Amino acid sequence: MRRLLLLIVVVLMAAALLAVVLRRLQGNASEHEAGTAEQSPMTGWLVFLLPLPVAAAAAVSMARGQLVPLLGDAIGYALFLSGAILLRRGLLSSGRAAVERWPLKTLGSALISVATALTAWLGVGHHPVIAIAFALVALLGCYLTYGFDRHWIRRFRDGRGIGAETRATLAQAKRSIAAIEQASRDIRQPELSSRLRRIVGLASEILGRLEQDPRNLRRARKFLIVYLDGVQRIVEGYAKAHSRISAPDLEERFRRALITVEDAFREQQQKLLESDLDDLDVQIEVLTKQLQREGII
Amino acid sequence: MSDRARRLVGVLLILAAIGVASWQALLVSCSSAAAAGSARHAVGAPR
Repeated sequence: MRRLLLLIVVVLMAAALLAVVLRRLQGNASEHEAGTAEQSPMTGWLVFLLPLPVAAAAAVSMARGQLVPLLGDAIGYALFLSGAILLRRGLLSSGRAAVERWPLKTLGSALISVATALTAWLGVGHHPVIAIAFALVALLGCYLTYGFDRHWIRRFRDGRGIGAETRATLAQAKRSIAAIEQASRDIRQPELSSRLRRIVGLASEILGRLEQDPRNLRRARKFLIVYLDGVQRIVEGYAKAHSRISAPDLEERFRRALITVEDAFREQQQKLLESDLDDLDVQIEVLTKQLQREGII
Repeated sequence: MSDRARRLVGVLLILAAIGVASWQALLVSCSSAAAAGSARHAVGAPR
């Protein structure tokens, strides 16, 4: 009877998990189709949830005084948790204009893979070769589900790694965007708030593009240093003044400033897109000439 | 392979590897055979 109950509980849990996974997959697919692949707070939850039995196994092993399974399960769970945290941070930062020093998704996946091997080997008692097979399947699963940090790998392969100065500039810009976002929450005017949200969205997109291709950084230096800093100061100043007094003149001037800033940001984004197209044009021209020289066309 | 199919295969692989290893670890530690299983590290009793 107890076994039957246990079986029913396990089957129910598996069904619930599968239903949640399918729903999440559908949600992700529609987000991709809409072009808004922003990461939700639930991102990477699967790798937090699945290893929970390992923690329970560690507790049971400890209660039973089994040293080797205890070590395998405890270290395995610690690695699972660390890997899941890194993976989640990597996933959240890949959806925004973040500048991460390390390839967090890849490191997280690797840690989860090692944790799986350790649990299968010491926790379960499988042969080490079988444990390695478990690890490889887990690594492949993480790669297919979450992907690795391709931008990071490409940067090093192309020898275009972000230098310390560039990283500092991008990090400063990221802080400015976060400060603008924070200050805009104190502004109760719906129109101004939505305009600020659009500005923050545009700035994040521009920063994400610069992070992907730092060659454009020189073109966008003015945007990073002058505009973002200026916007941060006026938004913070307005938010403070707005909380103390109501001044229609000030509000009108602030609105006009935001319109100018939004236009400038759109222009900046357009310039970056055009520079990408120029690069592509040059590449096509070079290839065409090469093909003509070799008599192919 | 479409993005959705790729993710589905990935999730299934994660379930197969991490899920199976985790539940096996729990079952091994809970079952009475676990003691015998962990006794593989111990010296066998003489016949």
